[in-house]
Amino acid sequence: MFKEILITLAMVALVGSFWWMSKAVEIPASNTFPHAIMWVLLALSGLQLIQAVLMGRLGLKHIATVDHPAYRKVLIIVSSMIVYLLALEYIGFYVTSFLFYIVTVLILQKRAITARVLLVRGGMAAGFVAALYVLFNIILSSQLPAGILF
Amino acid sequence: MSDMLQYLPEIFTGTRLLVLLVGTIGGLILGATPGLSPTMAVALLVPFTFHMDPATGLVLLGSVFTSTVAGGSLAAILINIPGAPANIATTFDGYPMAKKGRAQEALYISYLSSLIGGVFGIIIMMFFTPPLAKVAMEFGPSEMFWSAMFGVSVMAGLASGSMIKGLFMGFVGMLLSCIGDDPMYGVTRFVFHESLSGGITVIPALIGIFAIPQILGLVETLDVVLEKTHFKPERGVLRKVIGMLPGLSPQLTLGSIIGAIVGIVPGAGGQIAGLIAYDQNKKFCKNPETLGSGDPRGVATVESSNNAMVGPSLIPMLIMGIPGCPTSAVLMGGLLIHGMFPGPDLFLKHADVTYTFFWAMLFAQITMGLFGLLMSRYSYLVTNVSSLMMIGAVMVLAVFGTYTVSNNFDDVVIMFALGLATYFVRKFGFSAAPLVLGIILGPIVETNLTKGIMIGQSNVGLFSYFCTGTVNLIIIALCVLSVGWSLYAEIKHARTQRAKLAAAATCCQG
Repeated sequence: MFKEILITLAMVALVGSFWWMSKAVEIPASNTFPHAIMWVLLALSGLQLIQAVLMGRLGLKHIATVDHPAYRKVLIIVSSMIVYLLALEYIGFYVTSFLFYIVTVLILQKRAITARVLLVRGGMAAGFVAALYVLFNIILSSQLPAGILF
Repeated sequence: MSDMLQYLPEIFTGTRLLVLLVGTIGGLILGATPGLSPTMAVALLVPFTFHMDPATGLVLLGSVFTSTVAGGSLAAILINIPGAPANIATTFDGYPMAKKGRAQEALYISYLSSLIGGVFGIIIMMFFTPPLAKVAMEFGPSEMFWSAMFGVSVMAGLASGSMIKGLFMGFVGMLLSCIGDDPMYGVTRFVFHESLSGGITVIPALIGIFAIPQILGLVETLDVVLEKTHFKPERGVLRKVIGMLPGLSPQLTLGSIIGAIVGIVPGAGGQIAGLIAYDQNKKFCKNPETLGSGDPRGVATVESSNNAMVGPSLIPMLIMGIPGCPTSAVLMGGLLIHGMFPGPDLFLKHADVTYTFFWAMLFAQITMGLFGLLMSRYSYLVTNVSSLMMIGAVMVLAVFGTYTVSNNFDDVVIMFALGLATYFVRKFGFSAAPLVLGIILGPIVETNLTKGIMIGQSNVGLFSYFCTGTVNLIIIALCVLSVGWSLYAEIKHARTQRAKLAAAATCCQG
């Protein structure tokens, strides 16, 4: 029940923020469609709450449950993704991608980090980034964030 | 048909044949790799097509779409994990066959059935799309508006367990599509931060919504130990399987027809096609008790149906811009980045690209069948690919794909934020497909609604314009039917659950 209330509150907050922003729109007719969507979303939020109450009374659970999610690992990977994205523009695509790849593998693997493991994983990451360089720079001639390094 | 034949030679250029081959083989491998869905694979490839001419780009996407669905059966058969949602029902008989030491036989049946069903579905698409596009040419704003709403309602109902949650995601997608410039008045709206000034474009949304949750899903399941079956390739199995085909013809026919019908319904997809075909086969075949315990008929039914779905699932997308399944929504993104809008224009202004794509899809099915059979002796190696390696690789490709479309880092941030948000809302039982559909269909719905309001107000009135006329009434009835059916299914499911709980309580008291 707590989760459903949380969902409903999040929905109302989302709609509220869009409604508030719609006040700044210069042509009122431009708000017709977004306002219609917002009303539908509010109605759906209400229905969601009613459904949750009814389900709760019947003793049924509708929300998908997750079996022992690896929250700690997910949190670490999300954090490393954020660091990767932040560093990307300043350091450069290829160097940060190499570092992200190797750090991700080292964080998630079960084996102890030895010199051999580092060498193997580093080699794989270097091979992957080299393949990306050939594909993106040489074959596709794509522009990627260069940064201060590469 | 003569128009179509005229463009047949277009596929026989060195580059396109190479792209077709690479796409098919790559798709088979991606489909077979546990944890990588066809939708995500195609989404990651869309930006690559930016560097190709539209026809070659679509050849790549079409061949990958075709072969990932077929390739997904490998993981379903060998490790009991469907490579794609379309292969869920393949596990029912495919995995028991593999456990009995008949993995190679199951793989051959799977690829041959995929080939037969796939070719059937593509032929249906080739014959029905051009005449239906002529019908769609008569559609005005009101009909287009209701058609788009029908797409959202169907996908919302089928994509998640809860109709309300599905609809909610569809409408949130539409609201997000309003960010940026208004398609009719050109006014800038809902720019919460300057990085959103260009709006939420399709490619970052597709990649973020399909790739990031998949990466985090892989992180969650890293510790899961896969139950691999013993696979020892033997000689003479293919000949034996070819000999079995006449006996499997009722299942191949049933699967192909059901797959094609389900495919044409917007939002249904291969998962539904496979499950319905399996269920119908169980009702009509002789000795249904052997199904589920390693019966080749089960594999043939499911694989022919989920591949027969591929071609027809593109029909509503090509003629009206309403994707038939999440992957066709991604393919639509591939059309949009080349400035091609689904609808009759595809057959009038871009006939060369459209018909080349049709032929490519047909040849991709044939190539997929042949390479599937050739590679199946060694394809079990794909199941050894470590998820650990894929996590970093998919993230890097997602960043590249998003950045390269407009060389804008803001798109990368939007992609990541949308992906992260999708990952969290999925934990609350919401699904991603309606969100993507909402983002894609939002501008179509808004443009046609605004045009319709203008026409209605100046002529017959809003109600008469939107709610009368045979086509409008038919599509409205379909919308009501799809919502009603989903609600009925939900209530039925809740009742079954309630009865089970009551039975369990009685049992405990006893």
